[in-house]
Amino acid sequence: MKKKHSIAILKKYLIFREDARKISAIIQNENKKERNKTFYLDFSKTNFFSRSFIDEFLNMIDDLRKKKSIIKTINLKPQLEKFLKRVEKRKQNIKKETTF
Amino acid sequence: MIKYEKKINFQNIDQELINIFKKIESSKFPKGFLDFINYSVSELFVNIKEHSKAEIVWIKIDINMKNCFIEISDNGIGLRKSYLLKKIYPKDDFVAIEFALSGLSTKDSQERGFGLYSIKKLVSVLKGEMIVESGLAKIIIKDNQTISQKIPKGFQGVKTILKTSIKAFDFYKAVE
Repeated sequence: MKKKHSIAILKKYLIFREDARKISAIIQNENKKERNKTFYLDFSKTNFFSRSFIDEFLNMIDDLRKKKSIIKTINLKPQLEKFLKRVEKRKQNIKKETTF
Repeated sequence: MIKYEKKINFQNIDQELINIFKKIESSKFPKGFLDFINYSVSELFVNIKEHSKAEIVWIKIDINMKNCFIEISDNGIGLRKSYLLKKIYPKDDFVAIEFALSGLSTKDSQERGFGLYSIKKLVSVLKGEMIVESGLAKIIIKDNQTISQKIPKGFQGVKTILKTSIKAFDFYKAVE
């Protein structure tokens, strides 16, 4: 059974790829202690995502999914959720266009 | 509304970007326009941080009631050398700028390389003007036309200038 694990993201602006990599490192560290978890990332304090951050963040979710961890976002501001979905859709379209 | 001009050491660009965001957020803009400014400035800073190998970054923002002017430049390796380091071979500085504006990434994975390409699209929706200089090349995009000019003395690094009028628009529909 998967266990819930909540992580509060404290940064107001998430801009660089390294911001996503830092989140990934925290999750991977938690994963070492106990695998097969669902992680809830709480973005209530975050006001801004850059496209680069989202790109790296989505890559991170994909990588962690392969390691049997599920990442879910909570308390995302509406504009951030909209942007996240926009970039995610664009990534999926590119994947379709470039996969034989 | 906003006048901001600064020379920044590369190692301070993270903190400086946050200072810029705070300054921009304190002003009121029509729907979508704040997203455009934040998106453009952040993508240009990300490009500098990830690719430029610069030591110094210059930023100038001049926004009044009607118009927006953003100029961000660095003294790094420039677009062509950035591509060459990734084994992509633009024949000259003009082609290197065209690669960047078309979304060709210097990185390996999908989606990356959208920085200048998506800013170009947004500026086009706003019917503005975008200028990119790197090495001996200068490309001006305005009214869906592209003008190429040679810079006689050349420009080390990359300079990007955005000029638009301030208006409401659906940022999330326009951004690709």
